[in-house]
Amino acid sequence: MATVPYSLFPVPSLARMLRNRLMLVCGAVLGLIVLASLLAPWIAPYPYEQIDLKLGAVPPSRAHWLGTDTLGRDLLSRSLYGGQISIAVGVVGTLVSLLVGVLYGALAGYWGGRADELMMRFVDLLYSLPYLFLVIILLVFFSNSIVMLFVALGLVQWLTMARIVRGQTLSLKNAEFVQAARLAGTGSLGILLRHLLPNMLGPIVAYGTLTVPHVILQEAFLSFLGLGVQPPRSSWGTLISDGAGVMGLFPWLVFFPAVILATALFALNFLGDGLRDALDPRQRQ
Amino acid sequence: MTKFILRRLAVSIPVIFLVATTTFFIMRLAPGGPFQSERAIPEEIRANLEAKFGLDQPLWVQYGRYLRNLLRFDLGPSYKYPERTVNQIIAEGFPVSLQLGLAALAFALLVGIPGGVLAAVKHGGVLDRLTMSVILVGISVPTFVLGPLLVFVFALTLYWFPPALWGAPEQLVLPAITLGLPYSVFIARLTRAEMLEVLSQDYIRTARAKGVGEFRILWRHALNGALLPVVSFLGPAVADLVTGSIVVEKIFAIPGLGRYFVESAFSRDYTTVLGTVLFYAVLLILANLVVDVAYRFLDPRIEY
Repeated sequence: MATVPYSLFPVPSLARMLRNRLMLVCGAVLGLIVLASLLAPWIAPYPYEQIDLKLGAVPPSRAHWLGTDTLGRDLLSRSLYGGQISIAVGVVGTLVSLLVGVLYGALAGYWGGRADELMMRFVDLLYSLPYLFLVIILLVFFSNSIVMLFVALGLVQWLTMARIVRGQTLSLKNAEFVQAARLAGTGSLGILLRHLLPNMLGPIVAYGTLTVPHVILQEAFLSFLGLGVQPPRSSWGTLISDGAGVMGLFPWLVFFPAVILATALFALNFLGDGLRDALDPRQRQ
Repeated sequence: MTKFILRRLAVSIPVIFLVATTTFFIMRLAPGGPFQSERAIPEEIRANLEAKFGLDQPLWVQYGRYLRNLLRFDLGPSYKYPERTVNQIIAEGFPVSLQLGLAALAFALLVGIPGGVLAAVKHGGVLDRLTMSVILVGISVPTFVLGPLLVFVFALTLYWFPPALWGAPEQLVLPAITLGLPYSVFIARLTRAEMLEVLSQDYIRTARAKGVGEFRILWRHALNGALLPVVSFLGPAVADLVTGSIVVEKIFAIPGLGRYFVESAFSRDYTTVLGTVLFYAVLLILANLVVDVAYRFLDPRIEY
């Protein structure tokens, strides 16, 4: 493992990122999806819960660009509002995993020795558990609320982050600039927060970006089982799940949400990969 | 080697215990119960039912009894499927899930490894870019989109395969592809990255210098080294295959263990939920152990 101190945006890799036009396109598409979702209250053509039973499910038209579902609700509006939920779940779940994972990994790496050994064994153990089953149990048996969803999904995701941060801490903590800080009288907390963490931001940001699509996917997965967001609210996952049931009759109901979800995930995965190549010198070829 | 396996098995006993305890108390601390459904049952009948299964006793007594039965591998009776034990349910559902999982894994390996090798050989070329694009698209399409899509195209439009249900070999095809495709994609990516690294190493150049054929270099010398990370990926992949099969079983109406699990969770069938989770925990621990042992066989440099 290299002991090169990282900086958030090394100049050559920034240049390389800019050269990579596909990454820019992905960023733009993603930005568009996020922006449209955030602006849903203003740009959505209809309220997301407005039912029109007389209308029923109609294919895409002038009035309803993406068509309507079996209850006559406008699919475009529901997709936009659903985007809010899916993105929020992805971001908050990732933040929870960051908080727990970074803290845990940094402490394990910083303390080292037996504490590190014990803490990482624990992570190994958790890795070998059917984790999503526990999430399902949590959601079924306790409140099926959005907060629970955030917490449960975040708690599943922190393991990999903890491993990465621990490795980084181990390789950095004996670097000269850390020794210099220690000699200058900086306490453990100060060293962790002010000297070690900033130098790991690259990999943390990169893997964080890769965690977001993962969490979104898992929310969709839970929604498909009827455990995610509850009606009348929607997420991309619930829309796809509802649409999949009537695919033979009203194909647009599964097609559009699936395309939106896949596009967002593709863009996030691609950006995450690119960021990792650019920000994590170890991965560079 | 034996010592390593024994030590790992010894460590996993407290883990199983921990899983059993956590799951038991999470379920019991939550409100509701298996006999408090929306359809009202007369109070006396409910009391009788709860007495029959010992649910009227203090929690710690129930917990103690559960652990005692667990030592005899008795997972107790199911509350939702009367007259059936959890052991029977697992014995019925698991072979189905296992077949599905193995078929998916076979598909993933048979597509993923050659795909990754080809992409690495043609590094930078059209084929490489094509593979990488397919890989990225594949990662971004979730199972529950892929499944209905495959059904729509291959079952409802082309009539090549049956759309659902279980039993005949041709009913295995679509579910296995649905479940396996994301992994094939991931394995391809992993194989490609490792092949690129391995191909630049000295022992490959040595082999070339000695006049070994290109085909043999690729598929024997290089692939051997490149497969290590793929093998270590298989451990967590088994876990994902298991949870992923919940969705696939739902899409294709397959009577596997994943469906039993979700149904029993919704109906608060304590024993079935707990039994399934424990069963999967054991399965995952064993899978990880097998992977670690295989890893050590493949790479003699690793110490125990």
